[in-house]
Amino acid sequence: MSDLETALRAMLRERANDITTLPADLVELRNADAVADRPMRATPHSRRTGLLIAAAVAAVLAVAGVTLAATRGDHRTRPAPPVSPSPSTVAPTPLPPSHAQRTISLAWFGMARLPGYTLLDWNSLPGYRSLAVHSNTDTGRPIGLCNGCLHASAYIHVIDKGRFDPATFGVPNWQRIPVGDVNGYLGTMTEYPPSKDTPYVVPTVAWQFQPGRWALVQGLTHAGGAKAALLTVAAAVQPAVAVPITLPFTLRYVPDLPIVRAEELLFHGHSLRLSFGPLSRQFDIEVVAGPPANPRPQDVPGVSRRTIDGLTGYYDRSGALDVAIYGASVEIGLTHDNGANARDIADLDKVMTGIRWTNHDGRAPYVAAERAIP
Amino acid sequence: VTQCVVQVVITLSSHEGPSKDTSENIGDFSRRCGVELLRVAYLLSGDRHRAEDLLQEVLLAMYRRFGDELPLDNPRAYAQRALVNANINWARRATNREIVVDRFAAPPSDVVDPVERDALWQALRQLPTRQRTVLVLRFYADASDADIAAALGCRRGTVRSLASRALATLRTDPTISEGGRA
Repeated sequence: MSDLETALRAMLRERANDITTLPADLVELRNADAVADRPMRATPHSRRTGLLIAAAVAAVLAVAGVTLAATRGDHRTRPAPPVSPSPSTVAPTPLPPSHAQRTISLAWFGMARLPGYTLLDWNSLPGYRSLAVHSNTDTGRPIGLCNGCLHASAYIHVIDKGRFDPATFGVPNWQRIPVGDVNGYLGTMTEYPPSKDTPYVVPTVAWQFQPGRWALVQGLTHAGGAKAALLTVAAAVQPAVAVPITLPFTLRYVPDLPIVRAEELLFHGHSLRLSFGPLSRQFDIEVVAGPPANPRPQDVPGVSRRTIDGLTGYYDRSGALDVAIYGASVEIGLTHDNGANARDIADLDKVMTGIRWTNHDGRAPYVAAERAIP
Repeated sequence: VTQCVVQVVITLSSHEGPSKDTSENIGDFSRRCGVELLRVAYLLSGDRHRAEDLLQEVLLAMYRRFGDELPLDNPRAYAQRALVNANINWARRATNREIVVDRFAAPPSDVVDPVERDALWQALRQLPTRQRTVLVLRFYADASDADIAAALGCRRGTVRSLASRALATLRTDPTISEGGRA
């Protein structure tokens, strides 16, 4: 983190401490009539028109509510767009040896059908991969401060060989329980990965699926942490199966940065994001199912149009490239934490030159990221 | 100050999990999370009085929408998101109403309120609303880019772009010296 970011974080914390109490006259929500009839508080900034603004905010909230409702509905009903193949329908594919720059796996683990659940979010990080799932009947609140976005009943973690020491968490002393045809353990441990900032202890099923390789299912809600729910989810996990992460293009050039994270969001739309490099210099590839969210920026100053392997793309000096392809849009960004510099722009130019679309007409399958990225 | 922190330790004594989550009374919620939400509103708006107005608007709207009981998994996150929207709407309205016709020289430092002396804070307040929102959510609320994108209704690439532009602006602000302090 840069000095500026550190200073910014400290300053915000310090400023937040300017607020220590709620003003006594801030609305007290005690009964409906009082609230409904109560005029807006008078403050030194009272420039509003009372109910008009309240109505506007209510409308905003209504829209937000509809959006939230639609989003929740989305991940229960909308079939996943073809950003990556369905894990349950793809046979295990042997992957080529890891590239020197690979710090993460570019394949998800397998999942059998899990009726009554919605898959929310895949993640691949150094040392492990995870999947958040939501039970469709679970109305519980996930533990911890999640900023309200990921309504996960449980997390599945498949940990790289040698990266999980069961004794550290007391797993050998847990209740023994079968998970499929292997012996597993049922107990409690802190959320994985361990963090001093998240001391939550959650119900967990752990099992060793290959020598030195462990998988965990951790419940985050009342329903998700119940024994039956944990075992149901665990039974669907195929930790030894590799489901390639796929892309609709190949690249001939990428900046000399390690891949540090892959994430596939299955809610708020459907998107796949690959992140390279530390925060101080990031190269990101994002594939979002569906058409571009924003109108084409043809008239925006500083945005240039360029034909990229036969398709029209738009890029700007902030180091961002947008291209609409069949059924999806692709965004590629290359920035420092203080914006893109000349080297970034030059690198982005090389990336653009080396893009080859493999699915521009929707007819060809996506290609495995392991093979799409040099 | 009551911390708006949910810390649940789930025991496995019966493998039934903790007691079932229930909706929260809005009054209890405002007492539990009001201070923290007011802080967020203050950082988002850069103005304490406006922050109080924003929080009041949001709590009123939540009451009108949901009544006494909040049937929300995470009412704090809902309220925070509503604060973001309300602040952006407020700034939009203000932009439509208020036209800056002149700038006045900063008063001498000996008459400036001590809390107004921080150049980084002043620079943050000068940023466009969406840029400031991204920085506050990222560096104060520790929100992920995905969460910020959801709150702002934009793509994560846009969040990254807004953050980059905001940080670049702060870095080139002549009033901010090394380390972010005047």
